[in-house]
Amino acid sequence: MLSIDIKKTWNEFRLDVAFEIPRGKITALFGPSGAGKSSILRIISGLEMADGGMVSNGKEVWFDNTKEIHLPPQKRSIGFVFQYFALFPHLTVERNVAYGIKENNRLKEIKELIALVGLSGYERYYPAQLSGGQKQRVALIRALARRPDILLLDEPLSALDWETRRQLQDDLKRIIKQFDVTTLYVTHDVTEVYKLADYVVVIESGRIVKQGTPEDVLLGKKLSTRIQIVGKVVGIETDSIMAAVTVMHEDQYFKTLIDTEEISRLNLRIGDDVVIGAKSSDVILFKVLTQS
Amino acid sequence: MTFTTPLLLSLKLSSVTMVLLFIVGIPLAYWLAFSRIRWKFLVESVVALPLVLPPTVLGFYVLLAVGGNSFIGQKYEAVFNKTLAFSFQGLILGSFLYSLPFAVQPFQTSFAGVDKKLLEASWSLGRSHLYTFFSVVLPLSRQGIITGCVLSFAHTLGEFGVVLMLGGNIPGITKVASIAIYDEVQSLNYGTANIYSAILLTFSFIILALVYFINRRFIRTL
Repeated sequence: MLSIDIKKTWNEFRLDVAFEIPRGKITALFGPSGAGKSSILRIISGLEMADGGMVSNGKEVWFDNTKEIHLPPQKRSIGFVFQYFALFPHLTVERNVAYGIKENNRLKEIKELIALVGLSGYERYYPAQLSGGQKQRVALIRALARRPDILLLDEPLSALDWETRRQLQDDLKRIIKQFDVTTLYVTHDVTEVYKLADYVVVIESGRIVKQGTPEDVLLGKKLSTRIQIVGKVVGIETDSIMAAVTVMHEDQYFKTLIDTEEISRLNLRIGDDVVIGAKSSDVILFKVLTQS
Repeated sequence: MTFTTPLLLSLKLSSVTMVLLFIVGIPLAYWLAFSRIRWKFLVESVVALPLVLPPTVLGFYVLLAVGGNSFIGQKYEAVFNKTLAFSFQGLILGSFLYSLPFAVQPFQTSFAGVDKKLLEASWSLGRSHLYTFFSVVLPLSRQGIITGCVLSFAHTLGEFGVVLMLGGNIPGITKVASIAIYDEVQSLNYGTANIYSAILLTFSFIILALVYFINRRFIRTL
């Protein structure tokens, strides 16, 4: 378990947060840009120093202001995935992945690691020859290759188009779970929180405003539905009794009816993030017929 | 002394100066590129001084600093049993100082141009600053390093004022090609002066063309 209690002030901005990241789980650090999420990640990794507080990984203290402990990033068991990949442009995929591995006998694992992110055959490619999604896969496996205790991801998908993002979300979750690594995931995308996180900490202007499971935090209640789709409201048509709400999820539209009263109670507007839920008994399944 | 002696002396002086500037310039440029110390600008100014100073001014002060009456000059004489001024070693010192900005500035610019995130990525992967320097910063700065080395070589080849002030004009020891040209013109041997000049001109042109060619190629491959 990673315990964090950090304080830092820049000119006008004050960061003051304390929270814990459960072992082996994916915790999302969620909030608008400029809330201080990336700074928290940088302080945990040791790339930046807090003014006060403490960071510890289990019994290992990484930062303690009162004892003047400040381990450099090299001494912390972390993997860091940057928004813009930060791959070494002069090294091949293979050598990027091998970069953090210090034991020579582990170098033979590299082929398997590259295969794990679906890039077999790309070992000798240079970063400039890869697509954005492929680059981020390399960055992810490079960070995991030295088997860190803590994986830190700083908006890893925000530089990618949504199609690539959707594919990578699934792969990210699968790979992270396979490595069983404690993960802190910075994002401002509510869909990513739903899809990836076991736990979410919501940050606004340097403070924690809420934390819990994604359902608890973002909906304020437990959903009993079996199917949940996160999307954005793109249309609301109301009459006196019922309202039709159109929700866009990636490239698909869903239309659902709710009470008009409910619209005003929720103060629902176009652009809001919502979850559409459906009980499995009400859902009809069709097999998609391919041409015969 | 033969016709080629001054040319060979020039090449020797340029080569030794270039190697010394590479060895000293790289750590100095690294410090200038990454240090956050407040008075760094003072060191930067000192490094850049030879760009604006008349070579005679630089030569004059170095001469005072290493002359027989100075502390450095006396120590040198006590250890090596000869003077530093008016010797080839003295010329190396002068050339080193005179060409310092031509090596350090391209090094520094290319170091500072390496994406900071790459350094952070390297540190977060458990690699030390030294390992990061040799594995990331240096290979990504090769263009600036080649430029700095070639420019300092070419600049040393072409220097005149500092050499004359510090080394005088001793055949085989301090009489480099640029001085030889001046000498020949003084003795109205225009033909010989012309041959020396043409060789230096051609050589300098080839070196500069090489630098620009290399820079263009690296920009394309990046």
